[in-house]
Amino acid sequence: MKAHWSVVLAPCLVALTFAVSGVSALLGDRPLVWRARPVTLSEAMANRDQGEVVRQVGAGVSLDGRYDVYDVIKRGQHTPATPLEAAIATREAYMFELGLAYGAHLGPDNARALFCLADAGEAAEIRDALREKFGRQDCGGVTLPW
Amino acid sequence: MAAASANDFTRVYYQPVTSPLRVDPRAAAWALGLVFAIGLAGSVYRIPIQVTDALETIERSLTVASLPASFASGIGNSASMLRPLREVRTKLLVEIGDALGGRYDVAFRGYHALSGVVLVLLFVGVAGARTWTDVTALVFALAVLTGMHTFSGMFREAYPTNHFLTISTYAVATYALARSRGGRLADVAAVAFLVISLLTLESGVLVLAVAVAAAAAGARGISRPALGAMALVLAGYALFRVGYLGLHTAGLGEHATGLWASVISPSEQVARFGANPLPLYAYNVVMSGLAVLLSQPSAGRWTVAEAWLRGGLSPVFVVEMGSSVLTTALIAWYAFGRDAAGRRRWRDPVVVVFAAVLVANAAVSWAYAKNEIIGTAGVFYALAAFAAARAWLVQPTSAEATAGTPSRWPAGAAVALLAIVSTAWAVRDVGLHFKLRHTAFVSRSEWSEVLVPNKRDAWPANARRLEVVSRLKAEAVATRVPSPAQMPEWGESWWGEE
Repeated sequence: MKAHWSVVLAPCLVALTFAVSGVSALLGDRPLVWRARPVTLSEAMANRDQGEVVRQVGAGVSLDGRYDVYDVIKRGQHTPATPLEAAIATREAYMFELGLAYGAHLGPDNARALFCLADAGEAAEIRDALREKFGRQDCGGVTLPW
Repeated sequence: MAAASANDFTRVYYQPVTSPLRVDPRAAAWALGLVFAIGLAGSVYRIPIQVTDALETIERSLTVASLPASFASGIGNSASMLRPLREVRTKLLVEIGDALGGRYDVAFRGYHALSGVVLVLLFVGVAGARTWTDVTALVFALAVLTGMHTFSGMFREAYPTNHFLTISTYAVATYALARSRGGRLADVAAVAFLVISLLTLESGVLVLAVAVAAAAAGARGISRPALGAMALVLAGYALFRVGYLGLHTAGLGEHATGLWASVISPSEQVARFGANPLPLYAYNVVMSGLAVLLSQPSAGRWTVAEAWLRGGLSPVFVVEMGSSVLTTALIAWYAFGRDAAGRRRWRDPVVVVFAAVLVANAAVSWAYAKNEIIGTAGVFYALAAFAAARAWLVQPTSAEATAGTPSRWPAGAAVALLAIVSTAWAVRDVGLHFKLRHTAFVSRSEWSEVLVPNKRDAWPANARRLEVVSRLKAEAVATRVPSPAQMPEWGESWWGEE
């Protein structure tokens, strides 16, 4: 019997773990294994988590606020960022456009800083889109968020 | 003297296992099956309804008035597909969602999760474990079933239901009927299963392959007249599909597919094989069959070769191919061996049916290779693995042991080898849940492109459609799923990129 336990041990452990996790998810919306951790709106943006961005915006979180981003933009560090700045950190134009589509403010007052951040962060597609809309920006004297 | 001692040990070692627990092995088998099924259901249920290939079908169901109307609409809405029951299921689930107060996620995701539970429990029922040794083999087989790369394909997508899962379920149910005592009810059910399967997906023909192969192997649960009726159903389906509706099947250049270490696009397929597509079709069939036995290639593409050439052979290839090669060897050992009565085991229904489904399933993959398409063969592979593992655990047979026949293996080595393979499958089983989490993330993300606030002109004009789509989106984004950044960084190297 001992030898047979060696055959069933690993599969049973895995099955039992995910069964308990599954029941916990069904009953309390809290799976035990690989549960979604709470993130700020900017962290969701920096993680390319489009669904979480939409959920938080729908729940009333402002796309124009500045929120902490931990361990994404800078490894092991807290980096405050607006969702649009966090989108630039991903270098993905679709994340930047997501922010705009769901109501983030983009105007002459913040375009320069975003352009310079995109330029410095090698987010070429976002930088070019900003240049097309607002013209080339002078980055001299602009303080970047990180 | 030393040899005699070894034989004595072997005789004792391979005695039927008795449990110190006062639990019936049959009850334990069902309980273990339920544990596997609940874990699967828990992960599947948390995948939001996907947008790709699903939302359009759901929206279409809103434009028809009734279930019969859905059936009728499913007959003429495609130039190549005849899948009216897909439309009916979608309509039915929307109506159930309405009845639940607009909880479409409960209806659709609950259906998908419940279908997984049904398949796993059918598998347990068909295996028919009666002893503790059987239970051991069953746990191994359940790990094979849920760890197979073809299995995850049945749960990672839903359009908005997964028809490959439907076909696998009816195929296993048909096998259960073939192994039963039979009777009129079994006959009617077998014919009904074929009709339902064919009207769900073209791969429904696998249900007939199961029935015929089981009968050829001596399983008499489905009578000959019923088999004849099933053949007539298939002939009628073919006549209706080709003769009346004039539908063609998927052909060259309709889907991207793998070729050796790369993927070729539809236009490349036409350019390279337009004059003679047979080599590509043959490649797809052979590779689809091999994928079940070796876990490579994946969707026709030898990703292991690509990884090798890049110099980065990650653990996923070792675990997946290693477990599959050893399990396939175990099944081959079983199929080409003899049972206690001296009969060749390749005549066993489970071996014959697996071989038939493998060939038929590979054949229906001729136009392009996709892991989901060969999901049914994967399920029967796991059933064959059950039979093989059970025989492996009891070898040498009790009759041989009584006669003093020495074991073919040193004592304990046979079980130890199976334990290693079983553990590898358990690792793959974790990968199933890892991939399902990733799928949940992708499905949830897709909703960000639906009902986009600054594109109101693209929103549905119809109030009912807008209401349902809004509800679907709200449910999807409300489901908390971990982003890839929250998953272990080493996950991809152990369980694959997706």
